[in-house]
Amino acid sequence: DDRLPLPPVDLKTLPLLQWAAGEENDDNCSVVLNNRIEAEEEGDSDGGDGIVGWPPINFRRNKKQRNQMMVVNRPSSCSGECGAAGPTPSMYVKVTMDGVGIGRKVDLALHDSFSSLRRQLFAMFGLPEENPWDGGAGEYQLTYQDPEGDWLLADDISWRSFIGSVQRLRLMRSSSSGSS
Amino acid sequence: MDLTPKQSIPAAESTRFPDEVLERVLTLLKSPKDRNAVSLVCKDWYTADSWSRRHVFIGNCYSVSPEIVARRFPRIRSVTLKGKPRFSDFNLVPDNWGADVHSWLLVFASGSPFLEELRLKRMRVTDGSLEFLALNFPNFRALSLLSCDGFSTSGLATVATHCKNLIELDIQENGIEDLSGEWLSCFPDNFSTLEVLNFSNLITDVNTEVLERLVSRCRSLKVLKLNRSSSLDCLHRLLTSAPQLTELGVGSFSQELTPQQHAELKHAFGFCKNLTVLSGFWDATALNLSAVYPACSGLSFLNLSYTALQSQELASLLPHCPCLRRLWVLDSVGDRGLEAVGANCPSLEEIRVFPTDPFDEDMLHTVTESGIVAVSQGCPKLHYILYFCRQMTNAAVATVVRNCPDFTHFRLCIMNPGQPDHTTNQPMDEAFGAVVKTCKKLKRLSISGLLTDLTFKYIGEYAKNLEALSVAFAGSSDLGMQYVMEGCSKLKKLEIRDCPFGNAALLSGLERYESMRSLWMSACNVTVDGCKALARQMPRLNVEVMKEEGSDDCKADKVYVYRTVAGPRRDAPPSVLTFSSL
Repeated sequence: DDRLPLPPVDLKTLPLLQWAAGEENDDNCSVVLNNRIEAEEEGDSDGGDGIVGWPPINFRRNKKQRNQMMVVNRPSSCSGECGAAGPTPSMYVKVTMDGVGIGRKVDLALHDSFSSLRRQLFAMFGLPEENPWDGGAGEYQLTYQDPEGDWLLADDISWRSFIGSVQRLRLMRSSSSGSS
Repeated sequence: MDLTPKQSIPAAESTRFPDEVLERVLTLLKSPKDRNAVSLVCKDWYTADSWSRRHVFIGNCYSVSPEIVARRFPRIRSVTLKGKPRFSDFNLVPDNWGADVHSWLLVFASGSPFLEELRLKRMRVTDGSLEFLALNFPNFRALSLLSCDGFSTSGLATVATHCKNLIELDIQENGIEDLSGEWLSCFPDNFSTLEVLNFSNLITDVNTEVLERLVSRCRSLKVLKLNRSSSLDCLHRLLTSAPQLTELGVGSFSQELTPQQHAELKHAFGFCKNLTVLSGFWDATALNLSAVYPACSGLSFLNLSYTALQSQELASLLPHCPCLRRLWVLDSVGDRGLEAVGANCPSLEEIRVFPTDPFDEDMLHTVTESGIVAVSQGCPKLHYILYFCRQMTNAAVATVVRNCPDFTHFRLCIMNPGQPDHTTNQPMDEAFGAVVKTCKKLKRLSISGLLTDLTFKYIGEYAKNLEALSVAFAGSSDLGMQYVMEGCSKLKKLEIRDCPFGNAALLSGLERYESMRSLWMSACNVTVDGCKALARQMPRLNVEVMKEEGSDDCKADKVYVYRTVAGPRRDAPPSVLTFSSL
């Protein structure tokens, strides 16, 4: 068996997401967020219509406003083991659906998985449950905007990472001609 | 300076103070402008100023070299340096552009290691530089980093460890690699000199016990700005041990408190009779906000720009702040919130309204022209405004400046580029015309909306005291920029993006650029040839072009022009072309 040896893999044990104010937070998450600030390429902080560096808001100010500590402050399905009563700050983000004029708002703090979020969004916009939407195969795809203003598909990302970066949501109509 | 003319004293015996006396007198002059004027009187005064100058402000780090500064001011103690062009805050400048502080530190360490204070804005600062600073300047005591990048919390740790006399550590809005809160624990156990500590923009937790011990040791602590992860319990304890604070930045304000905890926190705020500045407040709830009321009676600056308050929450808070002079908020407070400002803040001099969702394209209006008018009606002393909105009218702006003719800083950002007056569909020319005609003291202006060359004609004709102008998506032809270059003789900083100004416009300012700090032009119609022509004719200007990937060779995508006595810089990255007269 002439298999090449696998390259050494640097496995890092990620700390569990703790719920307790004052305890060490998920450093990895904040490092990821901050490294993104560090590695920010020119043109990342463009608005929805693609204008770089507009509106003229210090991109570091905008990031800091939103969601950076939200990951730590989520009970994240600790199902009663969290002990000390803690605040559950709401996390409202705007949701728009292609073809629907009025946007809505959803409190992501009430969810801990994409499936529960999907259920609420369907109910909100009156979509039938069977509308196949689970990352590409269906008529609508869930996309979200990250702190840099980019729109990303919410399909191959963990819920935790999603919560840490989502600014707003958009149910985007998939291309009707063939699957993407 | 009023010099009484000497009568009938021969020139040879004319007044000649001993140098020491002259230097002593000069140390009483603090303002850099006065000092600069003094140094031009004669050689003796130049020399006396050089030896006695303790603080130097360098608005553009490339306008001069560290060697020149160290040679001229051998006993400098405090340096303020600004680096990258302001548009780097909006991601328009490549990361590796330059403005590295290290070469400055090397020169100061060899020439005058008595440096005590360093304040940097938009500079590149590495951990290596911070370590060098901490180890080579034994008297170092004040470090302020604003919008800098390149360092991590490890760098802060070396400063905390080695700077035994530190009185100020002020870290704001930087591109910092936030690895851990360990740095705070690096202050020695007997360290007690701190007067200013601002770590509000760091994310990682610091050890609360270490923080509390540090605060209770530092009896002279006046300014304390906590980060978001600081809890209300911790805040309560800190307030109790440091009632002498004058500036406080609280952490997250969302924690649910029991009635007892709330009462205790409110009581602790009551101790802080000297507070003039309050900030922080991430995710503040209305209930928690009420805990700060006892501390607000002397408040002059309230920064609520990190929490999306609703109008009612602001309206409940403001009556407790009768002395408010500066207010920063998010547009979530809406026009109703701004009406509350107008109704409760008669002494207000400055208001900044930031967008909660800058990239939000919804038609939901958060603040409109009504809000700004309401503020102007209730706050006649207003002289500084920064206002982000999605709609505006010419009439509203005219009303605002009629109510408040003393504006020195008028920065209006209508967030949709090129948007006209939404009631008349006309350009916003008359709005800014009203501003420059009415506000004779105007020093800084940022314009937006649909604007023709007429706006610039008004600016050139009326804004005679203008020092800084920021322009985006405006103008119809080269004439626009020409009007400004011809009319605004005091202009120091000009930033232009996405305007139809070409080489003729650029060259129309030929005679002006040496008396300005800098010019920025991006996404305009300037070509590389135009820049070369400028550089050829003006040897004391550095003309730099930042090339974007994939653009034509002849296009000057981003142009940065600045005066300098240091010649073209040698540390520009490959994407930055530097042109000189050579």
